[in-house]
Amino acid sequence: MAAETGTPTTLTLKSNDDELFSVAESAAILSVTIRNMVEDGCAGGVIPLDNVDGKTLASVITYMNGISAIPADEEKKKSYRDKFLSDKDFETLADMVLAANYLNMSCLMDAVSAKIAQVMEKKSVGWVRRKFGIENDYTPEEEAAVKEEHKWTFEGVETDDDN
Amino acid sequence: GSCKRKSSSTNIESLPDELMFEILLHLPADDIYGGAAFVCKKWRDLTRDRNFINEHIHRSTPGLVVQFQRQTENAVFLAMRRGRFEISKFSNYNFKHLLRASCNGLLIECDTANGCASFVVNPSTNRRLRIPPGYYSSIAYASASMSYKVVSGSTQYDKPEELGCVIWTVGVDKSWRTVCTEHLSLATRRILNTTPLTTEGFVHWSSPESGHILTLNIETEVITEIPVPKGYERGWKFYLSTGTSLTFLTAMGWFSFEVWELRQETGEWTKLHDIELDCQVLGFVYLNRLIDFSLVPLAPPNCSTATVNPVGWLNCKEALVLHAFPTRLCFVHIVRTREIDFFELGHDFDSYNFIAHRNSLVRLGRC
Repeated sequence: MAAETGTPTTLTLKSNDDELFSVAESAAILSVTIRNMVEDGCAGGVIPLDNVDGKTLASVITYMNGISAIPADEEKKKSYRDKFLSDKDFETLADMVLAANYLNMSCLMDAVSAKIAQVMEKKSVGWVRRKFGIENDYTPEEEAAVKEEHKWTFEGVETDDDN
Repeated sequence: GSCKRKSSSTNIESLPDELMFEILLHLPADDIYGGAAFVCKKWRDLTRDRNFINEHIHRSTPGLVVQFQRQTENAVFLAMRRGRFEISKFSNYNFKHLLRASCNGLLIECDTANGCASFVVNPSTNRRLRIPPGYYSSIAYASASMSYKVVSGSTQYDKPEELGCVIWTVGVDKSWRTVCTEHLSLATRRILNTTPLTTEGFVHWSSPESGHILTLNIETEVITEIPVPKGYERGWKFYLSTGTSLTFLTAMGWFSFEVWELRQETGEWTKLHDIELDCQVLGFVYLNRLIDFSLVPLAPPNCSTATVNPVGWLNCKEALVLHAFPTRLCFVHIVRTREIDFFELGHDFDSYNFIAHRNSLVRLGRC
């Protein structure tokens, strides 16, 4: 493999919309999904990634190359991640979280999740619904009931209302 | 019920539940309880799930509650988030009484004006539970039995020989139970009347100039006497909980401290890296406050009467908070970078509570 021969091994990844990408094996194996394929010897030809589109895969590969170029310094990796995600819009972040989950890249997954959550912080319920395109499925009565339930300070043990 | 989609492209709500679970874990407890839970029913159900609540505790940032003793509702939460120092208020709850201790987001609130009626409170979810009368002190979590226990030294001023310890399991016990202290000498037991510190699975009683501490294993309910490291018996020790473990600091100079941490399982102390504050920044900030805001002209910090006391850790020793007692000025020393941040409390010459705390969605009674 790469380290033994001195020539970097390159893998070819295929997105679900049939785009092909070349990426150094050393960077691609940040994905546990891809690493397992490589270790099982299934990475000889083209690796099909059925759950990732070309636009997202291009972005993930940029991230793979960027982060694997940084030596073992967690602070620098963290600031690279922050910078990498800083200009991404919501839809891209949602696509990235799906891709990171499918590719089993826990650091990227964590960073993207945190980024999405950060946008929600200190925002009104209405703002979050609008921004995320979520339909309010509470009836007015249900919403009033939940608000009331959250409002009061109960003195006593809470009821077991979940399973 | 699941939320309906409005758009055909990937958006947040079309994500599978397990990914939405991951995303919501990153939100602070107050934002979940006061906001995200109302967005739609799926989010409400996700954030009420017991696994979610447990996982959320581990992701939340341990920080410090600061409470002004004469105006108990003026409590703020200090934390390091994404490498930066932050001060926030408790948006879902008004503290009515004095805070004593905290564990996994549950605080003990004590009404000193009303015979010390005490409560277990989760300020993020605006819930409180009355504790049986008589004692108030500390709370800790026994993870194997998945129960919260309130612990207190039981002092009787007229009978010092009866100094002991009582315990009450939240949601289980009807009244206080006595913890065995017969194996401890009277001299050893004397520190049971101090305010204990909570760590992961333990409650510790200490005294700044004592040669030992007392440690209660919250699971087994056994109290052990642990000597301080040799040579540190008499010197003044600032005991602080990181939330996870017990530490003490001793001053080496005006602005440098030795740090020791207790390995709770073995009772051994480990010496950590010394803390050395950047005196130039400290002096600069202090003198500027002195001129700009007419801070109490105690003494400049390089003068012998100033006391800069360590009062708590943020995010498991990422930063140390120090109080320029008795002024209103506090410093935040970020350990890795040695950067100094600072903030001001409400008033000079007042008493403040500093309690290690993390915000959580933990429910009372059933854990």
